[in-house]
Amino acid sequence: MIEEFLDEDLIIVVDKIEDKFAMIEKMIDQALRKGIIMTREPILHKIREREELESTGVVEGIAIPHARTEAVKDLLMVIGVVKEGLDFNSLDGKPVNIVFLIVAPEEAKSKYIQVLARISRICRQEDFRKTLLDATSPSEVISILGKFDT
Amino acid sequence: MEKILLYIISGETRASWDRAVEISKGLSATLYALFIVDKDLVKTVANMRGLNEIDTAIQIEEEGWKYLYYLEDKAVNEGVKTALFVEEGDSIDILRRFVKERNIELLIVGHRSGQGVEGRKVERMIQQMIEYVQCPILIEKEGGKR
Repeated sequence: MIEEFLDEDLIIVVDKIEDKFAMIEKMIDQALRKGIIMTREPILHKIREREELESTGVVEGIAIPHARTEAVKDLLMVIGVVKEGLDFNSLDGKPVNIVFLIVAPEEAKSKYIQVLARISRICRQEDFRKTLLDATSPSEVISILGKFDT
Repeated sequence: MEKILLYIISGETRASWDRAVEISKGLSATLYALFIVDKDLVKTVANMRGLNEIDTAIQIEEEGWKYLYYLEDKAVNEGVKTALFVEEGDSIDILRRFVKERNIELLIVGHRSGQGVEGRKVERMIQQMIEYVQCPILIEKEGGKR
């Protein structure tokens, strides 16, 4: 189910980055560069608004910033891996290494919630987190997600 | 009041979700939403469906996350700070610990009566909750009175 939203061009792996909003901007810019989205500001605004309300750093090194906005036509998923942990104001206080940015149009609420639920469920598996952190390329990230997306 | 916990038992307790959002908004409190993959429920459902317990737990957890994200969508639209949690184990043990560790000031739970064996299980669990969980509890009777 998640595989249909995965795209090697929308997976970025960085060693380190200054803060969570820099990471989110980088991920949105990647989608912009690849022509998947036409504008960055409304998406960034929605994500910032959500993050300022409460961090989406869920648990154990994973963050899932997400929002619905008319600025996207289809569900967008960008995956970021930060080798050196990132402070995401997570609920458990731990640094984040894996970021799933999920943005969907307003009318795609059901699909949006299904994808968030699947990602959240997979991310609770320790095996998944460890394997994904060892990934060295976007194709490897896709392959790992495919293996756990059942 | 700063911290309110909504314990989501199932998708049939949505009146309690609305109540939790309404109260959290009114008090500018953070709403913690918790779904528990209860080990006894997993066994019961696995037996009923003829599935193994691992697959059943996966299905129940994913359903739980969907409930949590529906709730979050509603809460965020109302400007309510929301944090989502899924835990596995014994519901009462988890609730006791969760309330204590996070200094929860009010626990909200929905209850729909008259659901046969499942309904009686939930009623028993709510009784235990009242006995063991150390904070005020608001039980929202679904489709009825509080």
